[in-house]
Amino acid sequence: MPDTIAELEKSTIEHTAGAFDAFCEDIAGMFGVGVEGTASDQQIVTMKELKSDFKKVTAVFIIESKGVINGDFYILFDQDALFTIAGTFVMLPEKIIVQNRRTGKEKEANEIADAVGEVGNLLVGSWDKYFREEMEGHVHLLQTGTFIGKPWLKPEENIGLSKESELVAVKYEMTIEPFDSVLCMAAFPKSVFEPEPSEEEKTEETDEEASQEEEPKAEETATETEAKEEVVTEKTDAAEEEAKTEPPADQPTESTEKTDEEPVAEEKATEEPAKEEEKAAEEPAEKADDSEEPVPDAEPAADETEPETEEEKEEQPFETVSETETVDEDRPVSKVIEQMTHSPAVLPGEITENFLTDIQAQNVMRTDIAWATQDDTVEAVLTKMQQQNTGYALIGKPDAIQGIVSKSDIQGALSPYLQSIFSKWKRELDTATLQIKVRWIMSRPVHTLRPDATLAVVMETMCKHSVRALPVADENGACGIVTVYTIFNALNAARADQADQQGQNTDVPALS
Amino acid sequence: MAKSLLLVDDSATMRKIILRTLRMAGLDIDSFEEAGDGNEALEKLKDKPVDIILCDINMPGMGGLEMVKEVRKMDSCADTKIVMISTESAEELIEGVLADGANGYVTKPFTPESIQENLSPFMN
Repeated sequence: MPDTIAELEKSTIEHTAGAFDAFCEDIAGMFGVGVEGTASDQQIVTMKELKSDFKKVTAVFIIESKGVINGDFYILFDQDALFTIAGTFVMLPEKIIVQNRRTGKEKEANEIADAVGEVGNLLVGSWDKYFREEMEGHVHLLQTGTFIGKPWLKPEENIGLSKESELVAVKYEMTIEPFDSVLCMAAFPKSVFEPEPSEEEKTEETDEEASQEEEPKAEETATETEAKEEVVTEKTDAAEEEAKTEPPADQPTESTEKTDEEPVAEEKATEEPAKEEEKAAEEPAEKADDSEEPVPDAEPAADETEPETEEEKEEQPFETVSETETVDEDRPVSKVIEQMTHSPAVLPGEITENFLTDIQAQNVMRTDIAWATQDDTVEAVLTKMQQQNTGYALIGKPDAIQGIVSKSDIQGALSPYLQSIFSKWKRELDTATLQIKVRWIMSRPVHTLRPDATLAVVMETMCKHSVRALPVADENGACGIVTVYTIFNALNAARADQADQQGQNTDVPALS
Repeated sequence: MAKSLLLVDDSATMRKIILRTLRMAGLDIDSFEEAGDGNEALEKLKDKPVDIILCDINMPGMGGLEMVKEVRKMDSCADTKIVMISTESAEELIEGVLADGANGYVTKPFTPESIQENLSPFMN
């Protein structure tokens, strides 16, 4: 452990370059991208001076350190760094990242605030691991906040430092392929290198503070007035500085100015709206479509008929299959099964005529459909399917099904080198297959069933079109999906129910 | 055999990153649920126990350490494996979490390889 403050400062600065390198290595391994960087020499900067290096929107990660160095220090990412790294985390297209680097403002940065916060989280993870290995006496690093904005404006309010605060800083130029280099900086207030006061010293300080509190009120009023004046001066400074920084053309609206003046101070504050948006985006599309009026063409036809003209084919997005017999649509499965099982002549496990004609599509369909759009990536669709534990997703919306995709379709589109057994031969291109748009692999046209189509019709339609899943659509559009598994489950349930009624055992006897 | 998984992290971005990494690691996950904190996770587990829980430690609301203790009180989750994912790598913390009932610990940042190494014992 370094003996003097100067030695500790020198040692920390040396390790800063190593910690940044460790972060580059970790990010490269985590996201499969090329990342490298170089540290510059140590320098002393004030908050005010940071403006000349960082200029635009900046992310400041506030990090609490305990152990060898004690207190808060800061890691800053310039506009290019925050948009490039956070954009890589959320897999934004290269074009958007480049555009954000050029023209992005706080609004765009706050849209990916959750990802920016995670950049800080992973940064702290890398640094903590590195310090633990390299710096004797290190206890921990903890990310206590993330600021997105211009920290040189109102630094006290935003990150708890005054404009004149001197910081021991190290710049780090990082390159993330395929983008141009970005600027990062670690900035340490001198106080973090000072030895932590002992318990006795702390107690003394507390006593002193307590006695100061008892000072006469007149002095307090004077201090208050001074403080107020200080705030006013600072506000004026900030406004002047902002006016100088941004040419009028750069401030098209009042709201932009407001955003600049009221930057987000805490990570959590920015995280919540982003999370809500994310959650909202993940809600099944069908909810949003509930309010839409049904398309007249979705009206089910009485019989399975082919559209006569090309025009009709265009208007009718999916083929409808139905049975002419009238069945009470609200009748529950158990009632149907009850009806089917009154013949004592039926052997357990035997699929009878009744099963095939009495069970309807609506009795065997699942209603929690996984919906996706044509532009969703196969990765996103696979995620939705896993979330809903289903093997099929419908593409489009309930009144206009554009396609259907199965888990097998997706697995066929993904590189086999993504499987663990081949992972050592995996290249970047293999991972890129996760980004294939689902429109390229979905099946179409989509044949649909009416809710009252009998099981016989369902099975016949599946065989005819060689498919293992069919959406069910009523006059409002898609309302469910029948798959071979939902049919098997329904048949099994019916068979077991029938056996129960007959008091027979349907279990397969064990091999002796 | 494919496993069901519950992912608990307050950051939606991190949940996405973890899922992508699980996929890149080639682990056979057939269904998963997501939760933003320990309380939401416990609610989901009441309805549907899972094979594996991947859980962050520092979260608003109920954090990961408390959640592990609560999950271990649930009979329905007796066979559930819990793997913690955190930026904190202090040995005392890791030992403490494992003693409280977690089955594994992965430090952030992670790679597909480190995820695979830590989770594959629970995949069979």
